[in-house]
Amino acid sequence: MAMTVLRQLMDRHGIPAEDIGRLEVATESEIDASKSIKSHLMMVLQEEDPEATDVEGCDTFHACYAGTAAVQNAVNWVESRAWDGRYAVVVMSDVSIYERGPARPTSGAGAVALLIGPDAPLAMERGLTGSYMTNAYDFYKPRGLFPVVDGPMSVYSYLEALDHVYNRYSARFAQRYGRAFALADADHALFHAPYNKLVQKAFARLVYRDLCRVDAAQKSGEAEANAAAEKGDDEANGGIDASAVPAAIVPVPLGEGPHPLPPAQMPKELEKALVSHSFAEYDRKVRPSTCVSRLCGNMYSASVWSGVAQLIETTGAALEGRRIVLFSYGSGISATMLSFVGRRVGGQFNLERLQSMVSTPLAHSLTVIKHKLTSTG
Amino acid sequence: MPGRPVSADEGPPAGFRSLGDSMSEPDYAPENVGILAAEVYFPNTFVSLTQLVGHLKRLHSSTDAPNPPNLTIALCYGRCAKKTLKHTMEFLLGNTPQGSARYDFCSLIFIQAAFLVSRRHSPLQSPVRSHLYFISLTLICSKGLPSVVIARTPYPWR
Repeated sequence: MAMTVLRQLMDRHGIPAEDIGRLEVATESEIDASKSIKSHLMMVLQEEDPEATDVEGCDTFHACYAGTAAVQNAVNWVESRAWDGRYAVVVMSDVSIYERGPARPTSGAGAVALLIGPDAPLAMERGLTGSYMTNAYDFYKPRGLFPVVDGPMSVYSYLEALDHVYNRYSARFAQRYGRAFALADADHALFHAPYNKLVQKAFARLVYRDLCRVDAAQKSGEAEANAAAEKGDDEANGGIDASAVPAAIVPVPLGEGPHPLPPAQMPKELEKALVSHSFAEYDRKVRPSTCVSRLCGNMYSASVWSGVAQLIETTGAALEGRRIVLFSYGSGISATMLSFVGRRVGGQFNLERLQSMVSTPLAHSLTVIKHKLTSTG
Repeated sequence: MPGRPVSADEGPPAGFRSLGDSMSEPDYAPENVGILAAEVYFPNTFVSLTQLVGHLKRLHSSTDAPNPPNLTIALCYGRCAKKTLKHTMEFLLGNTPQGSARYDFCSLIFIQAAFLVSRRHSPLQSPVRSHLYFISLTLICSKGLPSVVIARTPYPWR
């Protein structure tokens, strides 16, 4: 799969092997304990140009997070003094398989290849990032192919990591723009997708975090207004009038606090209400990037980054000027939130052209899948 | 080519930023670094087991040796009890349907037989039909370009 997707990238975009200066591979489906998958990919480059051996990079390994680390490596290389003017390519390829049990239906396989370079139509927002790294045993592979999974712990770890990176991303955003980040500042959100229900929960969790902030501000405003009213002095508190504070800013009753509650303590009813409340926004901001993960299952390191290709396919030139926030999570635990901004660029990598290039295979494939599934019934 | 970095004494051109004082070259790095293009490949070809076996037989017969050295069965597991699937496995593995391997360093066959138990993941709505089996198979040949066949067969085995 890795070789195929690399060849696909080079052929479709006319990238000669000699123009690739760095090749990063992300996987947790390694086929050798020592030899990298990158070494196999060199066959693809050298088939075209036997002299194409001056290529940096090798495999990156950390559960589903490896793809993000590889992308960061590639972007940092292009931004560094080490850059020699050539492209970087990141290939993520994984097969996810589980022992019999509740996780087995989430099995999947897939590969993604990204071409990294300057003047990009999807430019990474430098400095706008938040990471969370710690040690946990929510998902690991101590004895071969099948992972050991603590399902509830993995879900809570995912959502807790999301909380941490969201806070840190928001703090960086506030440093730059002087105000807190809210989901309204993102036009699209991509999430690592072990299964799509967790993606919906994750998006609802971010909505919840925003609502908590609104709720806190509302309560703070009410308290200040009440204190001013008791004093009979509106001016002392910036002219806040208690009657002017909207009674129902928060559309979902949050119930007993203190909010925000940790993921493990979230009442199911509140969680469902948040998923339901955020569904329209989810439909607009998240769903366009979830087709492959919904139909194909978990692709581990390729999972969240497959959303980029789908977003280009579904949105194309309309991505110009839009912010895409991406949440990457790898069990164990590594997590990062970062963002891209769509840009109008000239040349072969403009979004309109990219959309026309990726739309046929993806749309066709998904149509075939839907047809086959339907006809099976 | 994205363009070579410029030398330090030229000053940063449009689209580049200064990396600060340094004796090393180049002294400027490009801005707006990000994703130029993205490609996805995923197992999407639904074929019947008959097609699958036919393809493998053609591949098998196209080589000289009875057990072609460019085929490797690296993994084999899953539900092999059903007749058709069992025959497929036997074809691939000889008579060792539980996963012995003929290993070759430069090629790989991956077989995955999985059992979907969740109604959410199945288009079939009745409790019995919601059990959807599929087999997916990845075949990579060592000769020439990687020839990848992925078959994922949604088939209600019972």
